[in-house]
Amino acid sequence: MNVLLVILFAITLIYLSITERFRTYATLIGMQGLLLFALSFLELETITLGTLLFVAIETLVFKVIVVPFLLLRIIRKTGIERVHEKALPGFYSILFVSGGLLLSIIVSFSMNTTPVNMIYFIVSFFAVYTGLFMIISHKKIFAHLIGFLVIENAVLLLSLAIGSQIPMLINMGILLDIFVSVLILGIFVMRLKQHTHELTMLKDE
Amino acid sequence: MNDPGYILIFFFVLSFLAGSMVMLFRNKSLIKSVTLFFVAVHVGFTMFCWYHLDETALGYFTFDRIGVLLLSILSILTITTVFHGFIYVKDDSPKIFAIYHTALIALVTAMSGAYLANGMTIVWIFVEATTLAVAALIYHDRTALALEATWKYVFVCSVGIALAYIGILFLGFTVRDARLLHLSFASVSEIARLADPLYLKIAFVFVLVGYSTKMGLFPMHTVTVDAHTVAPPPISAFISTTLMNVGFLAIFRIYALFSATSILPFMNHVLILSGMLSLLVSSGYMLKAKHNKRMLAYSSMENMGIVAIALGIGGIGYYAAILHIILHSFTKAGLFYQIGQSYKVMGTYQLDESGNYMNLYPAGATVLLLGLLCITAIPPSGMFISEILVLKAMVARGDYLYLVLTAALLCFVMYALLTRVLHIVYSQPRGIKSELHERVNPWQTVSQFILFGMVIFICFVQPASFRELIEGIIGGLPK
Amino acid sequence: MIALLLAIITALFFPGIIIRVKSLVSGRKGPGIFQPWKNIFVLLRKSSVFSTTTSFIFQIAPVIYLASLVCALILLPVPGIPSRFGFGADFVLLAYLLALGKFFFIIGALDTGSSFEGMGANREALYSMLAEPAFFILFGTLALLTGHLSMQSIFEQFHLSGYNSMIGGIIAVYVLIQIAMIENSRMPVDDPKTHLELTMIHEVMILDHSGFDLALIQIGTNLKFALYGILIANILIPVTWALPYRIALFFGIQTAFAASIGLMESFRARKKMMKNPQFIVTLSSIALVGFILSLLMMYQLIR
Repeated sequence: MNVLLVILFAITLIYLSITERFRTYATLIGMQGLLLFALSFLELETITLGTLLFVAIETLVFKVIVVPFLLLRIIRKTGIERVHEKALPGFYSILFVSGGLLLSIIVSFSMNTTPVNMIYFIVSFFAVYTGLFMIISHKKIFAHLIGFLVIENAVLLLSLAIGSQIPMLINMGILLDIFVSVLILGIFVMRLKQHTHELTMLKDE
Repeated sequence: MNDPGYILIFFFVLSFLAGSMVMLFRNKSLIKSVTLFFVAVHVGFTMFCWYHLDETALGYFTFDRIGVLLLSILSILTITTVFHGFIYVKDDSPKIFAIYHTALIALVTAMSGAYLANGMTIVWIFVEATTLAVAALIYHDRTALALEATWKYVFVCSVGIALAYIGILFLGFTVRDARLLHLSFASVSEIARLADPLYLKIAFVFVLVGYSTKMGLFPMHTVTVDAHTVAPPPISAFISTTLMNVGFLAIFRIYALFSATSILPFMNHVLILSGMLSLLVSSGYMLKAKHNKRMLAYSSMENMGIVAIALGIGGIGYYAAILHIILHSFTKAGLFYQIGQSYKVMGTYQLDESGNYMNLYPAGATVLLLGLLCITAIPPSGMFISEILVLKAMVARGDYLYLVLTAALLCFVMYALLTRVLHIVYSQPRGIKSELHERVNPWQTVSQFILFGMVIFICFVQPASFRELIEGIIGGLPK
Repeated sequence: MIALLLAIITALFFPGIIIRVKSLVSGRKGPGIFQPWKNIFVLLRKSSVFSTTTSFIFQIAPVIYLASLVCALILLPVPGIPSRFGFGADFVLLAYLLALGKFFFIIGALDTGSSFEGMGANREALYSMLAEPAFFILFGTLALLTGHLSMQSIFEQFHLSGYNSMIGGIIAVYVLIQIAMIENSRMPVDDPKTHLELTMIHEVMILDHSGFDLALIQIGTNLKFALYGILIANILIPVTWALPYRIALFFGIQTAFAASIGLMESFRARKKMMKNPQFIVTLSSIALVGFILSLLMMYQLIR
C-alpha cells in the first residue's frame, strides 16, 4: 500500500511539470499533502501515539487545508490563471523531468539500502529535482512558490522513511512546514501582490 | 552558578527580554540603553565562554574553540555595528527604530546559538532563525527594491534550508539510532567511519549546497549580493562577516566530521570546485558592478571562495582558512561601515556618481584606502599572509593548475577593486561634480582604524596563543 | 497461428463495433457491424490508379505494411497458447516488425511528392518515435517483474496478485491502451474523421492510395487494432483459467476495448497539435514510474 501511494506521488509530480493552470498546481499540492497524510499513518506505526497524531494532524491541517487555501486565495487576489510566459515549452520540461526521474533511479539504485527505502529515495530525489527545476524554469513568483512546496514535500517524504527510528527529525521537518506556510505564503505574497510577474529590479547593468 | 548550562539559559532569557523590551517601548533613548546593555551582556557571555573552553552545556551546546573564536569576533563586531547602527538609523521613526533593534538583538542571539550549537539539527534551527531576523533587517528601507531583495533572500534561504535538511536526514540514515536525537558531533564522528560512503557523499553535497546560501558560495550565492544592495550598511557588515561565518561553521563542522572517512578526497574536490566557481563568478561580476555595496558583496563572495579552496587543499590550507575567516570579518566590516559613511557624505552608492572622496572626507578616504589594501591582500595586510599560505599549500600538493587559476582570478578581483576604490577616492565622477552632502564627524572612523589595525598587526606579529588557538581548531583534521 | 486466426476474427468485428457505438451514442442507429468490411470487399474489386510521380515504393508499401502485420501476428502468443515462433526477447522483433511496416508506409507517402502527405508522414514518424520508449520501458517492466524474456513466458508468469503486480498491471494496461491509440491514429492524438488536411496525420498519408491498395491498408489498420487488443488480453487474462473461460474473456475484452474506443472518441476532442508530443512523452514518464516497481522486485531478489 505504501508503494502505491508513493507511486501516485510520483505521478502527481509528472503532472505538475506539464500542467499549465495555476489552480491545478494548488490542487496537486493538496493531493500530495493527502498522500503524505495517508503515508504518515502507514509508515510510522512504531512510534508513540502522541507523536503520530501530531505528525498526522499537522500534515492534514497544513498541507491539505491551509496551504491550498492560501494558494487559491493568492490566485484569486492576483488574478493569475494561466502560465503565460513559460521559460520552457511543455515538451522540454517533461523531457527534463523524465531525465530527472531516470537520474534519481540510477542514484538510488547504487545505494545500499532496503527496497522500501529505495522507493522513498527515488521519489524524494525526483521531487527535489522537479521542485528545483520548477524554480529555475519558471518566471512567475507563484511557480517558484510551488517549486518550493514540492521540495518541502520531498523533505517530508524522506523524513517518513527514517521517522520510525528518529522521530525528532520529522518534528523538525514539520517545523519547516509551519514556518513556510505561515511566513512565506501568508505574509510575503500578500505584500508582493503587485509584483507577481517578475522580480527583475535588482541586477548589474 | 558557574555551571555553563545555567549561564547559557540566562543569556538566552536575557536576550529574549531585551528584545521584547525594545519591541514594546518606543522611546529611542530607552531602546538605545537596552541595546547597549545587551551588548555588555553578550561581551560578558563571550568572556565566560573563554573560561569554559571545550565543555558541553545541556548536551545541545558546546564551547569548542572554533565556536568561541567566532563568538568573540561576533562580540567585537556587535559593539561596532550597534555603534554605527545608532548613527545610521537615528532619524528613523520610533517604530522602525524599535523593529531594527529588536531584529538586531534577535540576529545576534541566533548567531551566538548557531556558533555554540552541538549537533547538526541545532545548528539548522538557529540558522533558520537568523534568516528570519535578517529578513526584517533587510526590509528596513521599505521600498519596492527592498521588498524584492527581502523576498529573494527569504525564498532562496528557505530553499537552502530545506536542502540542508535533506543532508541532515541522510546523516540520520547513517546513524539510525534514536538515542542520538540531536546528532551531536562527537557521537556522529564515530559512526561515520562505518557508514556507506555514498550516503555520506550525498549528505555532504546537500549540506554544502544548502548552507552555501549563508556562506555565499556558488551555487546559491546570489541572495547575499542582492541583500547587500538594499540593507543598511551596519547590517551589511553583519551579513558579510558574521553570518557568512555561520555558514562556514556549519560546513566546517560537517567537513571535520567526515574527514576521517573515505570520502575526504571527494569532499576536497567538491570544496575546491565550489570555491573556484565562486571566485570565477565573483571576479566576472565584480568587473561589471556599478554599485559600491554590490562590489563589496562580490568581494565577500570571492573571499569565501578562497576559504573554501583553502579548506579543500588541506595541509597548511586549514590554518589559512581559519586565519582568512578571522581577518576577512574585520576587514569587510570596516569597509562596510565606511561605505555607509560615504553614503552620508556623497549621497549615493552608484559608482558613476561617486568620486573626489579625499577632498570631501579625508579621514574616511584614508580608511577606504587602508581597507583597500587590507581586502586585496597587499602587504601590510594580514590577509596577505593567509592568501600566501593558501598558494603555498597548493604548491606543496603540486596542484599547479589551481595555483594558476586562483592567481589569475585574484588578479581580476584586485584590478576591479583597485580601479573602483581609487576612482572613488581620487577622481571626479564623469559628467557631474561630486559634492558634500552632509558633514560626518571624523571620529566615527575610529572603529574602522582599530579593525584594520588589528588586521595589519596580524601581518607582522602572530602571538603564540593565537597560533595555538587556530592549531587547536584544526588539530582534528588530517594532515 | 492461433493469434492470426483470433486476430482475423476480432478484426472482423472491431471497426464495426467502434462505429456502431459512436453512432448509438450520438443518437443515430448507425451502419451494420460488418459495414467496414463490406467497403473493403468493394475496394478489393476495384483497380488502383497510380500517379506518375510515384515509383515502385508507392506500389509495394501497402503490401509490405500488411505483410509485416501478419508476421507480427504470427509471432504473438495468445493467453495459454504459445506461438510456434516465439523466442527470448521476441517483443523487440514485434516492435520492429511494426516499425518496418510503418516505415514503408511513411516512405510510400513521401513518394507521392505531395506536401500534405509529407506533413502527415512527418508527424506520424515523430509520434511513433516518441511512443517507442514507452513501449520498451513497459515491456522491460513486465520482463523484470516476471523474470523472463520471451513474451509467452512473461504473460504466463504475470499474475495479478499482491499490490505490486496489481499496480504494475494497471500502469501496463493504461500505457498499452494509450500506445494503441497513438499507433492506430485515434483520438486524442489524431481524429480519423477530420477532413481538414492541415490537421490530418494518418489519413493524409493514404490520400493517394486507391482501390486494392487502399483495401490492403484498411485491412492492415483493422489487424493492427486486433494486435493491440491481443496484447491487452494477454496481460489481463490469467492463464490458470480453463480454456472456454479464457476464450469468453478474450472476446469480452476485445468488445469492451472497441466499445471504450468508441466512447472515448465520442466524448473527447483531439488535443492541440503542439501538445501532442508532450502528451506522448508523458506516457514514457508514466511507464518509467511503473518501471520503479519492477526495480523494487528485482532489488528484493538481489539484496
